[in-house]
Amino acid sequence: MNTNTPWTEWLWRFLRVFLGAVFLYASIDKIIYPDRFAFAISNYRILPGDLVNFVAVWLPWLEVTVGVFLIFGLFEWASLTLYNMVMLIFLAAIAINLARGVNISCGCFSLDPNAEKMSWLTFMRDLGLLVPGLGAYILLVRRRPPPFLEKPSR
Amino acid sequence: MESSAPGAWIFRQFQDILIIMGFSLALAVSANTIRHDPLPWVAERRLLEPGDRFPYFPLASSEIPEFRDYLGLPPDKEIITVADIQADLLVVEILNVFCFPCQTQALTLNRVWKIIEHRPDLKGKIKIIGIALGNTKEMVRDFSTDYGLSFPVFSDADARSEKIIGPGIHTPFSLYIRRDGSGRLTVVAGTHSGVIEDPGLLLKTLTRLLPEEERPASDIRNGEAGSR
Repeated sequence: MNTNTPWTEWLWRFLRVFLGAVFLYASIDKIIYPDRFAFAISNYRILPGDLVNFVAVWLPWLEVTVGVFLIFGLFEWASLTLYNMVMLIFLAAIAINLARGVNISCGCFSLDPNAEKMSWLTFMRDLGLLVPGLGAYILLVRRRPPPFLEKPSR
Repeated sequence: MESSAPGAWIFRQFQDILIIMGFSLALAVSANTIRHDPLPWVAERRLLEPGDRFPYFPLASSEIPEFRDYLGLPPDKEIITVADIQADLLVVEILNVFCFPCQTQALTLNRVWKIIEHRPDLKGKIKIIGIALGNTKEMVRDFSTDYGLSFPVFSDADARSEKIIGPGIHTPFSLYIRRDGSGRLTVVAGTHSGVIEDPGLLLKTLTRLLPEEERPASDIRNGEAGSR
């Protein structure tokens, strides 16, 4: 059932552009300084060393792709799902290291070696970026409902 | 006609996710390939060699406050990299405070440091730092005091050097870093594994790695004589 209204349509547009811009902005430093990003990833001590460089090269371009796709409304369900998945992974990585008590920089938006160290505020900020991503599903269901939720037309 | 089965729809979304991931991976591989400083892939990871770009290796300047002026560091930077150091040639010595050859090498470097600092034609051009692989700040401080080291040594308690300089590194390992076209210390001009006990020999190696216009006149003359 398509319960889309102009209001939900505009809110969805605003949200996807906002979420896309967040990912595009987050990717800039990572693309410019892949070696710094590789270092930031290795600081988290979650990935095996051999995977660090691969992820450092790939992740920023995944952010770019998802960001651009969200902004232009391409593959909406898949782009939004990837946004939320990546944000969940970031949140898990941050939470694990905060719980470990490791004093490292987030590497989320800036890779300046003198950037502030990660804290629970960082976690809350990223959580604040996940919530609209999850909330956007409500708008997307109203706008482009999966076929199995459509009422059969008589 | 679209299938209304949830499974089919979910499968299609999964396909779309794979398409996005594949597309981004293609972008990433292309971008890394055309960069002038691509990150090495797993299979390409090896010990740094002359001509390589010295990788990003953050160091805590708070560990060596008394050497800030010597290295020409900006006053407000807590985390520095090799590229922040002001010199024409930088010796980066990877050592371990408990390894006997490293202790010998540290003493050689100390002698070289003293010669450089007493020679106006070399002072400020060649600088030396140590990175203590697997050693804590406290260990490094004791080591520097016990051996009366005149050059700064940074701790590398997490043994990052093994990942950054390359797999299979054996201490002592020396890297000689030269300026790139933009004037930053980024180019590996030479490496040496093991001890050099003769400070004169090490100094000769270092002066030869200096840019030609910065080389002492005596060294250029000797070099010309030697090459005949």
